[in-house]
Parts: sequence; C-alpha cells; structure tokens
Amino acid sequence: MNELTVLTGDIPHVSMNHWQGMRSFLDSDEVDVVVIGTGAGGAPAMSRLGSHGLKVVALEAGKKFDPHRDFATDERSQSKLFWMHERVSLGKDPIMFGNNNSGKGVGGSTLHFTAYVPRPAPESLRLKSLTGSGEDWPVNFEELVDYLEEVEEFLGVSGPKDYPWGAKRRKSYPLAPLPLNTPARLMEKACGSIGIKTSAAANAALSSPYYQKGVGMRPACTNRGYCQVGCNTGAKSSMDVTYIPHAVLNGVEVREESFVTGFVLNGDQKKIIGVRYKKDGLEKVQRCKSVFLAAGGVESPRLLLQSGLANSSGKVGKNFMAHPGLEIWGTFDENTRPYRGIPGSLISEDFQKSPNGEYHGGYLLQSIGVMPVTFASQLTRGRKIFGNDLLKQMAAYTHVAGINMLGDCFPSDENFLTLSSEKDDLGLPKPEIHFSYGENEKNMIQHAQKVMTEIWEKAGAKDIWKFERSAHVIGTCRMGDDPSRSVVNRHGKCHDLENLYIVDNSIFPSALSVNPALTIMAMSLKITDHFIKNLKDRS
Amino acid sequence: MNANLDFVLSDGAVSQCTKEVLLSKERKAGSALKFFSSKEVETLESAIGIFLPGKNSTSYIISELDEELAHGLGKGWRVGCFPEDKTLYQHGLKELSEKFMLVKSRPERESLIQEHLGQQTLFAGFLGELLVKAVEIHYSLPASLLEISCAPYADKDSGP
Repeated sequence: MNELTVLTGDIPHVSMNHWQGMRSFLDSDEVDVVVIGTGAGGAPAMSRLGSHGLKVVALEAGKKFDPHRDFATDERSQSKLFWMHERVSLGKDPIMFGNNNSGKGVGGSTLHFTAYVPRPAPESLRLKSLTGSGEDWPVNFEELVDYLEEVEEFLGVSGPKDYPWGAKRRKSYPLAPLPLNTPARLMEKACGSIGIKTSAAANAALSSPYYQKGVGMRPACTNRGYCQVGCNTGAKSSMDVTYIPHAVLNGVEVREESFVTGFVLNGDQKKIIGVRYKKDGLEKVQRCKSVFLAAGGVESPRLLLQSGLANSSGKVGKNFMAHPGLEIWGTFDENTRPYRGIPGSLISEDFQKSPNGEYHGGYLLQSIGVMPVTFASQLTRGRKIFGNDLLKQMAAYTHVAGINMLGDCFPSDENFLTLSSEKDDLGLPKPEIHFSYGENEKNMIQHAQKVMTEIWEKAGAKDIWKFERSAHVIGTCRMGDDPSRSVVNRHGKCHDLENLYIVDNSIFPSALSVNPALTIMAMSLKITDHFIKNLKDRS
Repeated sequence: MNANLDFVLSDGAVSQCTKEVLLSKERKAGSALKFFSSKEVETLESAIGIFLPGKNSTSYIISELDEELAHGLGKGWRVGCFPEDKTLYQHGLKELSEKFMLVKSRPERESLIQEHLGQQTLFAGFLGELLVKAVEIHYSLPASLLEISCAPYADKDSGP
C-alpha cells in the first residue's frame, strides 16, 4: 500500500498503486458475487463483500482512469466520463442524459458528481403516510443512520459543525467545511437579508488531507472547480479513490470495459449462474453464485428488460423519477470566478416543507458555480441567443453566479423506461424514457423559481434568467414489501430470483429531495450486510 | 491561438495532462473532413459566422463536428421526435442551404435563424443543436476563454 500522497510539479494527487497486484479470476471460476457497475451503488458493496473474504468480480462498462494522468482541465475532453450511448427521451419534459446525469468509467457517475452529500430527511422516507402523496420506503431513517454515518466517515465528508436541518446528528462531519466560493457568498448574504437560513454544505471532498484505506493520504481540495468533469487530485471522494481501492486491496477484481449484456440461468430459471458480457469484442460469461446489479436508474432496468428477468410485477422500468433542478442565473458587478472552488458549497433546506401548502415533499437550494463550456451550452440551449448577444453574455461569464433547486419527484405510471425498437452501437435496444412533471413538481418548480429569483434580486444581480433541467435518474426497479408493486424487497433482493440483488438508486421508491449519492451508498452497504449475514447464517 | 496557448503551456500551475489536451486541439485544427461535403462546409461556415461573428474558430468547430458525426459520437441522448444526429445534420444542412440561397444578406440570415430557432420543427431542432455544439466547441479553446478574461486552467490551488 502506498502511504504517501504523490507530489509532482507541486500539484498534489493520489497514488493509484492499488491496481498493481489486483487479484484476478477466470471466467470459469465460480465467484461468490458478480457486481455490475462500479459507481455509488456497486463500489461500497464490492468493498464490503471483499472485506468479508468473498470472491468478487466487478464488471464495469467504462475504463479505469488515473485522475492525475487522465483528467484534464478541459470539459470537452472529459466527455469520456459520461454515458454517451444514445438514449431516447420522450414525454412533455424530455430528460437530458449524457453529461447531465450519466457516468461511465471505474467509479461510475461519482467521477463527475458535484459531491453534494446531504442526508435524506427522516420524513421524506414516509411521505405517503404523512401527506398522502408519493411513496413510503420500506426502510426507515433509524435503520439507515448508522450506514450514513459510516459512509460520511469513510469518505471524509467536509461539512459544518452543526447542520441546522434534519435529524440531530450524533457526530460532526469528519472534516471542516470547504471554503465558500463567490457564488455561495453572494447567496449567503442575500438569503440572510430575507430570512432564509443557509449553511455550508456537506461535500464529499476533502477540506484537509485525509487518510484513505487502500490509497494512503488523499490531498485537500485545490479549489480547481472542475469537479463535474473529474477531480484530478483525488480530493473529491469519488469511488475510484475510496471504496474501489479498498475493495481491490481486499481481493476484488475490477474488470474494466466489460459491458454486461445478459445472464445465464439454471434449469428452473430461478437462479443466475453466469453473467454474460462483452470485452475486447468477445462474448464472455463469468460464472457466479450471486449477482449485485448496480448499473443505475437506466441501465439496470434496461438489462433486466432485455433479459426478460425480475419483472413478474411489471414494474421494471416503471416509476422513472428525476429531481427538478431548475437553475437561476444572475450577473454581478464583482468578479465571481464561477469556475473556482467546489461548485456547490452553500445549501438551504428551508423549503423541505412548503410554507403555505403549495406542494408536498420539498426542495433544497444550492449555490452553483459553473465551468465555461457548460455555461455557454446552457446559455444557448436555454436562451437561444447567438451573434453579438451571445458574445456579450459570454463576456460577462466571470461575473455570473447561480442557484439551483433540487426537488422531490413522485413516482408516476406516466413516467417509465422501455426498450426502443432502435439499436445502439452495441446492437442492443436503446432505452426509451418517457417523462413529464406532475402537478406537484410543477408547483414546486414555480415556488422555487420565485424564491431563487428573489434571492438574486436581493443580491443585486442583473439579467436574471432561468435554465430548466432535471438532475439524477431514479426509480425503475422499486423496492417494496409487496411483490405485485415492486421489483426488489427491503433487502434489495429481487422477488423473482433467488440470487439477484439491486444496490443502486433504481430501487428508490421515491426520489427524496436530496442528492442521492450518500443514500445510495448507505443502502448498498445495508443490503450487502444483510446478504453477508444470510450467507453466514446458512453456512 | 498560438500566443494564447503558449501562455497556458508555460504556466507551472497547469498539469501536464491539461497541456497535452490543449496541444492536441492545436494539432486537430484543419484536419481532413470525413462527414461533411464541401457544400455542407460552405453552409456551416455561413451559419457559424452568424452564431459567432468575428471569431476565427470556424474551421476548428467544423473539424470537431465532422469528427463527432463521422464516428457517431453524440451527446448521449436525443429527443425522440428528432432523428439520429447524422440524419438530423444532413437534412438540416440541406434545408439551411436552400434557405440561405433565398436570403443573401447577413441581417436577413440572422432574422431567418432567429425566427426558426423559436419554432417546434425538425429544422429548429437542428439549428438549436448546431448552435449549442458550435458555441461549446468555440469556448473550449484557450483563446476564446482568455478573450472573456477567464483563466480556468490552473490545477494548483489559487483559492475558491
């Protein structure tokens, strides 16, 4: 194990030496578990399985990267981190995929996540019982909290000493908060003047160097600001520098560029005995005793639908959800340097409950910085300007700051994923996603737009405008106790199969009004622990 | 572009990886086209000249677009009522060329684009995609960023 942060040319970065000497298995070896996907769902699971001595192979469609060597401070060249196989978007509010919400590579979407890791509010897990809307989770907050704490500790989450919302914390965040960037400071000041409470956010990025098992010391954040196209120092706690090295040290094999296409079942079709995948142009099958599926809210249901598995409820692909993520931009007199610092460093959860009953569920507000190409893209997509108007707007780029909402989204029969008749570059049916906001989401967006606009007006912003988007892809393989209404049970096990578990955010019964990464990781560990306990009980 | 690139390449706060990517952009400009015909290139030059007036990145934008389309590298999604990118661009460029034949002056062409961008048609979808792509590619160049006083390449800490 390399215990030292490597210093080259004064730019600190993590060592990726853990790959040397990684254990490997043959396809013909019957491993205990094949994990499909290495993001926030798959990585914690494989780490835990490995640490209990199980034989594990993780299959990842994307490549393995060395952040220091492979991640440039250039947005377009970093599109290699996004899932670019085409998805077809339909409905009244078609979802933007690609760089908006989909990852590919060892580490999955965490390679480009913003690193916001707020905890879910206890009430949001039983929204239906409390409000009659949405869907209850079969798991309550008390069952999750140990895991939330464990993940925060393992990742080295930076956050405030006292977080002002949600259930009282038993422990402070492991590290002090990251410094507020200029957009955050502008938002903080304006919110304070109109009575909206704010706090430094919880970020899975290091405000101080932190010891990471399997990696050694990870350096503190350098405020580079390009978190959403890959952190090149390893300060952001993406899976490639946290759970995956730990898993590899514990004997897990991570097989990159291995695209899973289906399963081999036993005689009575109740048990998976092998996972089919394509690697180097060859069709292969990895033999296994169990499968953990963690390919995300689109690829997990796609794989199940094209395999014709786990769908006796008819719910695979149903209840697709996406967080309303409206952004409000403003231009300020001062230089905001929107490309520096962690993009989202300030949060407000004051609107997790509607002040006057305008909506059920809730939303949070987050300050946002932005990289130049992303801003140019949003400007043209959102405002449809070109020519001198565009050049003028872009000339003011270093004076812009944004706020975005992240709102709850309720499951609906109208929103679903199905297989298109079109084939993708691998010859597989493209996923086709139908999505339209319901009345509750529309009311929430309207409310948030008014609030965010007021904040920027108070902050002295000129030229305030909105960019409509959604964030995250959630649902599609619902978790629940009723096999006729859900795909997996409360322990992540598919109702229809003896040895298939799902550990990503496709199992979320409702979207929750927080960024999902922390909850995904906590659920993944919880499901894995139950799986291991069962194995031990049986043996 | 060279002087601006030299400025970035000589900066000790910029990582080797970033420098290599920026240098590869320099090498890519003006490479042979595989997807667009010469007539399509003419139409693209006119459109990009309207989107980004007075900028000299047009040939780089076209070579990047050409490479993406030739290799089928899209943005990872499309609205279902539009065809795949290759077809969208072929049909869109044909229609744009026909419309540009009818209106020759720059103000007229600007009005034409403005009018169509706001519509819910296949052609509007094409124009919107072309505009977004052209602008994204333009602002990925160091020279374009330095022009707007943005110096984002520092990989070493310079504060939030």
